[in-house]
Amino acid sequence: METEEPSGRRPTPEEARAALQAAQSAQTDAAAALRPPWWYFASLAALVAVSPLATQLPSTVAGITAFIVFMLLWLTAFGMTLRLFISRAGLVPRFSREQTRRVWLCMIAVGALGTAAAVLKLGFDQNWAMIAFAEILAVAILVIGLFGGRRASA
Amino acid sequence: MTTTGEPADGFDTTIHAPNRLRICALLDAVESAEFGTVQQQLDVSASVLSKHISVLMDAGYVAQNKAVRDTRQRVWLHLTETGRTAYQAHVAALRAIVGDPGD
Repeated sequence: METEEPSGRRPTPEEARAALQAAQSAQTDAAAALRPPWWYFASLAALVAVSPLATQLPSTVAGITAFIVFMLLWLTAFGMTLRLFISRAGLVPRFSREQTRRVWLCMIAVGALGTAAAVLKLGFDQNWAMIAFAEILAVAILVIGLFGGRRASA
Repeated sequence: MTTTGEPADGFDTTIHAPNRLRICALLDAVESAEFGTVQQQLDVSASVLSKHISVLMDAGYVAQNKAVRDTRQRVWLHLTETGRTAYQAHVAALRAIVGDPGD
């Protein structure tokens, strides 16, 4: 290992194949290390599940102050969850163009549903909409996260 | 015949050393990786990894950022654009040797 400098000659097909396999193995190991643990999805789901509490606060000075404090705490907890995962994994994920496209599609879909729920609450006083949206999203994060992880490791 | 640097067909002897190939492969799969994680993944000593990282940094293929967290300094490594291009060209050259056109 210490003296592994290449000789400068080109590898044989067998050596090249072994090198490709070693590279593939390193990438597979990295992908496995990047798989988020159960607590990551549980934390995200919990954060999403409690988020409707912010919409239940009264429109008073105290209520608005509480809303701001709640949002600051929520964003801090969200950031800490992401940071803890990256810190423990020791790796920062890199998304391919296709993965980035999927993330954007997912965010657009969630944003559209969230907007619809907000319109139902604000325009039609349907308070249940925001709560239902958040709870369904929380369950989806948990199920997709845990199921996706299991499928990837299978 | 190529011995160093980036020959026309992409075969790169700087990258081809087994541990350096694995380092580049790992870094190609992520945005950045912490030194200790790379060491753990490759199962090499810190001194061996440092030596290979130095070679890759001298070639302009890898760069590092130092961050202090909980009073402990952590070194994060990432492939530069040059490094990513060189690694991908090297893999393509290996595939050509094997006779696999790849994706």
